[in-house]
Amino acid sequence: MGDKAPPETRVPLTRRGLFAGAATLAVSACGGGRSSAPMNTAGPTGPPRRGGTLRLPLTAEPIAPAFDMGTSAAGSVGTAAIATLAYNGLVEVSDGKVVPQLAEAWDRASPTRYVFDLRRDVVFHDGTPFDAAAVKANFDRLLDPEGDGVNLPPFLESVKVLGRHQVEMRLSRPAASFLPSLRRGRVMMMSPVAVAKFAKSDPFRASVGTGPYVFKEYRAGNVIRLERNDDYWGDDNYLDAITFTIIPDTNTQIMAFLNDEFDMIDVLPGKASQVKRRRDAVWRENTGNTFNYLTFNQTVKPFDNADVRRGFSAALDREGIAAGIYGGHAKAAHGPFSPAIGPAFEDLSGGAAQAYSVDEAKKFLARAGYDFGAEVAFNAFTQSPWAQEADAMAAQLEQVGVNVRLNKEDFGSWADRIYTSRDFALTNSGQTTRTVDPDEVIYPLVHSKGDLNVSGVDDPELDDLLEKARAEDDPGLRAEMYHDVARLVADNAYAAFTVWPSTLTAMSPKVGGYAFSPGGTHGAAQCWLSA
Amino acid sequence: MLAVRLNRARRLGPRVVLPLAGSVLQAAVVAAATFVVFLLMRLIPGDPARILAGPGGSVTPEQVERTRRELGLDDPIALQYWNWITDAVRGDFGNSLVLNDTVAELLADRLVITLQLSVYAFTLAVVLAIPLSLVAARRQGAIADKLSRLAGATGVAVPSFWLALLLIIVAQGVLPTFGYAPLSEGLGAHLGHMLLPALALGAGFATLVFETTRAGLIDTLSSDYVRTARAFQIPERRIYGRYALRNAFLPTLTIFGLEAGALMAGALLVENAFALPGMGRLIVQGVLSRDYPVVQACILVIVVVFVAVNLLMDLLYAVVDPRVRRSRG
Amino acid sequence: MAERTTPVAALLRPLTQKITWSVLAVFVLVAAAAPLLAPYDPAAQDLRNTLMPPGPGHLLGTDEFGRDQLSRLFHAVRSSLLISLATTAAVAAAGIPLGLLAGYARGFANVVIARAIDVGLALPSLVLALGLIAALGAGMRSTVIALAVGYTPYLARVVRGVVLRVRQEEYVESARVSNVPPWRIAVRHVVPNTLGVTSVQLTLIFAFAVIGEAGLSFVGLGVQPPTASLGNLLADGSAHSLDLPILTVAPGLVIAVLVITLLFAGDGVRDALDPRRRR
Repeated sequence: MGDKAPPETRVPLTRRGLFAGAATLAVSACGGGRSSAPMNTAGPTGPPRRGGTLRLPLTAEPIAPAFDMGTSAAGSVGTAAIATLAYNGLVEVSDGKVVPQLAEAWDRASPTRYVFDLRRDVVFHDGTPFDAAAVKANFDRLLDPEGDGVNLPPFLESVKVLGRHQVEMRLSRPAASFLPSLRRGRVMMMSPVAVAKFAKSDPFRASVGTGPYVFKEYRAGNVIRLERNDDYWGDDNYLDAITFTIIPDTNTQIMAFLNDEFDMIDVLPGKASQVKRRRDAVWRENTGNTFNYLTFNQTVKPFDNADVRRGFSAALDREGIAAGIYGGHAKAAHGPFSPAIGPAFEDLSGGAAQAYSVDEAKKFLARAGYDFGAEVAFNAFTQSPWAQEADAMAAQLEQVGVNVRLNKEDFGSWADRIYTSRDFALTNSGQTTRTVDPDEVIYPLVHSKGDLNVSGVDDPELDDLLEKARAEDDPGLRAEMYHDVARLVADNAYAAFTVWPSTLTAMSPKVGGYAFSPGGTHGAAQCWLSA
Repeated sequence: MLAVRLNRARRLGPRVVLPLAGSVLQAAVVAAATFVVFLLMRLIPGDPARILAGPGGSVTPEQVERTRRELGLDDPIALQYWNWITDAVRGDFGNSLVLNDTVAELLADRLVITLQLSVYAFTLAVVLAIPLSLVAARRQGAIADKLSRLAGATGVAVPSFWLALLLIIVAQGVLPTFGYAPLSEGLGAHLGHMLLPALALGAGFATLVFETTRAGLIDTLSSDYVRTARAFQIPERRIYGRYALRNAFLPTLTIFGLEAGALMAGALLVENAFALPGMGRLIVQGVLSRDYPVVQACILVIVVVFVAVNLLMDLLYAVVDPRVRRSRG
Repeated sequence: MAERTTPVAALLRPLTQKITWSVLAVFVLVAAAAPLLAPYDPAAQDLRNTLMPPGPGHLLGTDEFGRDQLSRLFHAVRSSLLISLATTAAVAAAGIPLGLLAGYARGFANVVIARAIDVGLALPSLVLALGLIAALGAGMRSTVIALAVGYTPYLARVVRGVVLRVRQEEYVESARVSNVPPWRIAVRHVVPNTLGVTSVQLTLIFAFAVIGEAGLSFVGLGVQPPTASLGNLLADGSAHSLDLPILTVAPGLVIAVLVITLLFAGDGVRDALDPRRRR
């Protein structure tokens, strides 16, 4: 499922709040822009070493109830990422492929029936054995209509225990995105004993998984500490401990990192040049399936007119935004899917509706008979980098003669306006959830019944395509369907896609084993520290 | 100065007893202030239920509705307020809607930090400002006056968050620049972590105290009775001790009282810059995420602290200036 | 001590005051002529030339949108002075009468007003401001409202403190004894005596408005771009304090000079208005 706009509702204190976008495929190397200093990408060599404490800052505190993956807390990208250090999923997604984790093997007995064989050597941190009953208990919480679990796998209907280590899952209809949706980072297995005992009274104590690290301490507003799970079924938990120190101000975080008080830090693209002052820092830059966009309330005039939307879209200088707002650590977007999505990607940069051209923009608007005298309200929120992107877009729209009035609110007010009262004409946001499947990326946003379809896109042809693509099993055919989806969305300018931002991580040269995961697993999961 | 206070306190005697009417008024202030915030929080658009339900896309309207019901957000505001204040009086502040703790626990942890920060900032401000203001007022218009005014002015002329930033850059590697060390980790570590934040927060107050004390001193020094005293050749020491400082102290006391409220607000930016998990940070986060129980409890605590400090200041007023005592009594 | 002269002459007598008011005049001039002085349109973005160091084309460099920092600084002085002026005016209009009433009224009115001021004071101004701006939306108007609401009780209480003191002065006592009507006592004795402290407080508030706006900008809820204000220049620049310090140092210095000048100006006004000092 997609996030609405900013990844966290835990509103960061500073305007340069957090940026938690993210997703797939290492593109690495240095970003362009003025940040001319080369970025070192070589970490320590040699075999992983055991021991040491990895220190990280955390911008936004986990949302309540802490790390209870059976609740809406699992919907927060940041909370879920930390949780992946203590939990496992039934499967993991690696290089675009679904690979075993707590489920050793699976069999698709029919298009709507899966049978999973579970690992037999796994126990939860509290000693509870991991078995079929535990899996059922976890999914039943998500399936409970009275519960407040999120991230329910698509069309999952029931879970049945077939044997001590075998479960069956039944779907109401076939879904190609079902298996990847079971990944760690999205659906995580908690100890049913701990959940029953503590979920209501003390969610942190209920946060008991099977993962490489164990939640030890959580002082709200201060620090979260995880320690190695000595009984881990895997062998890649090298660190003694991982600490997250909660520091909402990213300037303070950067200063502490420069001072070697942190080993690893997520960097807002616009701030990379500051972090580069640490000369020995090792960098990872990844672009994923995230995208930023300007969107229109298509249920009101003039945005019911596709040419008006195309005109607005063509007015946006995507390269400029990537270079200026993101310091080069983003790529101009011409559609919803970035190359990171895999075969579903198709280069759409040729289309006039999603490429920058002042002339084309004026032509589109003239064709639509656009009223340049009318004032258009642009509702944005005061959180970086979306706030800055809104400033840039407003200025660019003025360039083609559109009379824009930019009105920024804090995130809470904005979310209310956009998602509840839908009282807006123009707004910008970002799709920031870690996603691995094109269905997760696009369905919620543009399907007429999509959860995040606030702009009122209602295109029967598109709906039909999305439904079919969901159920299509042939990867080649499915990819082609998503090419069509992307073209439809882009050409009709159901949104104006601006950039695919990078996820930037800077590390001390002692950190090895960092792995960017498009599916949401924390990059530190397999980290180690050299001597 | 101290002698004057002690002397007055002795003479004040049994008057330092809170009249019952006074407490009722103070309670009314607390109730009114918390109600204003209660109302304001509900006027702001943004539904805590929605925020609580999380940023994920799979929030159903039924889920939102259920959380609203559970939180009692559909009750009339007056009823909500009544429920809240009656629980609060019993010490039950409920759970944070967003943070992973009960409000009481959150407050207990953070209030300590903010109070410590405030006390240190205040102490620094007074230690810096009072001697400076004496020098400045005595030599009004002289170089010493001008220089101390310039120094004082710089304190307020630099926004605290900016000063914090500069201090962090300057002190990097010398002093800890972020985080909190409780007293249990040793006095040195504790004060080391607090020094920079206290400086950043105290600078503005130092100026305030300095300006007000100086203005008050000059006012008094040019007043008729001081002229008269001088005409009678009463020693300058005595004039300062007996008349000038005492009268100049009135507006300064007012400032102290005022700052008790402003302090929390100032603390938040500073706490943010130095990553101190104090109450300022808690309250801003609360407002922005519509975490009603947290905001209300914070406001209640701040108002109670404020009222208590001001009560103390009123008493000091009476100690310093017997005429006020007479007129109030 | 000045001789009996016109207030303006008395004000400008000391050298410090001559300097102070000259500097203020420069600020006002820059504010008034900002559009003429600025070499570029302060809102014109150039996303391919962001964060340029100072050079011949851009004397103070460019900001994160590639806007000319010098031009923005000129316009920022303009909007910041406007914000502070509006805030101070609003605070004075509300705070002085409130303070006079609270200090001078007796009985029930005294109690109610004094406690109302206490309520206002007890609520941290920045928190109130956050709430108000969340309700009103960010912008210049909201900034002024939020700041004014925050500072009004503050001024009112200081005025009240002075009134309480002046009320006890012998000449006021004797006027009361000789049945001079209360409003005449207020106008003739009380108000002039409050002017000194009030003017000092108002200049402080003027200065605080500059600082307060910076704080709101820092939280992202101050004056919104593309409008430049000293506060949002400072806050935006502080995000680049390590790689391009000029972005935050320049507006920081302007704020410091402005505020310091205001403090000295307030002092001068106070001296010039003080009836005892002109005697």
